[in-house]
Amino acid sequence: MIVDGTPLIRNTSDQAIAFVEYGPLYGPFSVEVPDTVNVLDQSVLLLADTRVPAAALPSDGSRAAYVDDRGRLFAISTTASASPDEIIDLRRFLGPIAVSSIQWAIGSPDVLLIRLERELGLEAWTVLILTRQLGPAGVDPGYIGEPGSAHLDEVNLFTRSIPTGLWRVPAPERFER
Amino acid sequence: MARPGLYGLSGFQVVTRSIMRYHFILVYIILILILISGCHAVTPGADTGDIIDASQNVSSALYHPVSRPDNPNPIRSFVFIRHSYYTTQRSPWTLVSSGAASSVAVFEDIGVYFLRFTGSGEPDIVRLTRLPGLQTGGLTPPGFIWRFQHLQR
Repeated sequence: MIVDGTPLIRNTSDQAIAFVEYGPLYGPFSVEVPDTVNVLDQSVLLLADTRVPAAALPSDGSRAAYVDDRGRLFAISTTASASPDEIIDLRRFLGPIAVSSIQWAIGSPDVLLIRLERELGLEAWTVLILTRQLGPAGVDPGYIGEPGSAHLDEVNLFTRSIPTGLWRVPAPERFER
Repeated sequence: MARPGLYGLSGFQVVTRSIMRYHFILVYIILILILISGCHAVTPGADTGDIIDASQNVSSALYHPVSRPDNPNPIRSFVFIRHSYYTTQRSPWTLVSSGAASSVAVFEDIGVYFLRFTGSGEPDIVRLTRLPGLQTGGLTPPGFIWRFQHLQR
């Protein structure tokens, strides 16, 4: 469904993960907020203490997939303490690559879409998690990414008018000059 | 009669001079503590001093609440990551008069926020979580990305 030119996004779960590009991966946490709550401050797990250029959650939220800076694709449980499971070494098959985004295929809980760049430009690939097979994906690489991520300007427009104090940023114990 | 000690000083004089020397050091320590305690205690929300708010939003995504089908503005709910970064202006300080040194104090926090709208249409911010242990030194990393679970288009 398209509203004002924007795909209407409807989540089936409230779980999310967050990571710094080429930094660690954290999560999961809920994005459901009761009306009466101003600060949730949920604790998050350090899911992967490595340099993560891309990560994604599947439909059931039970595991996260991520790629490290050496081009290896991993899956890790988000609900139980476990070591990451290396699914496939992408560089072993594709040579030098730079992964920019991954996404679980909607409706296919064991299929990952991968957007990467090689010498020839952007490419889309598919990894079947169960069989650990890699193959070219028949989708536009531009399709693989976070829906709604282009709305940062809109967020900036709203947050610009919010007074500093309302951010409720915890003050440090000592911050002196 | 006291026995002459080093350099012709009596034992009593040696002890007294040692105490005075330590007193001198003690006075320095107290002076430093006083200077430190006299500094401004700055909080990000405080309107004191020349605080530079260099915070910025670094990643966003749309969100349609799962349990709120009655959300009046589903397409205008956002979750975003904000890199809060506060610093003071560079200014010379002369605690040690060895030239014009610069001191910059910073406070850094990286949090995930939910932007929702109240009944009157005013935006409201809820902090969902903070990403622990991240120190960028003021440089926003090239990309803070966050992912929802299972987005449908």
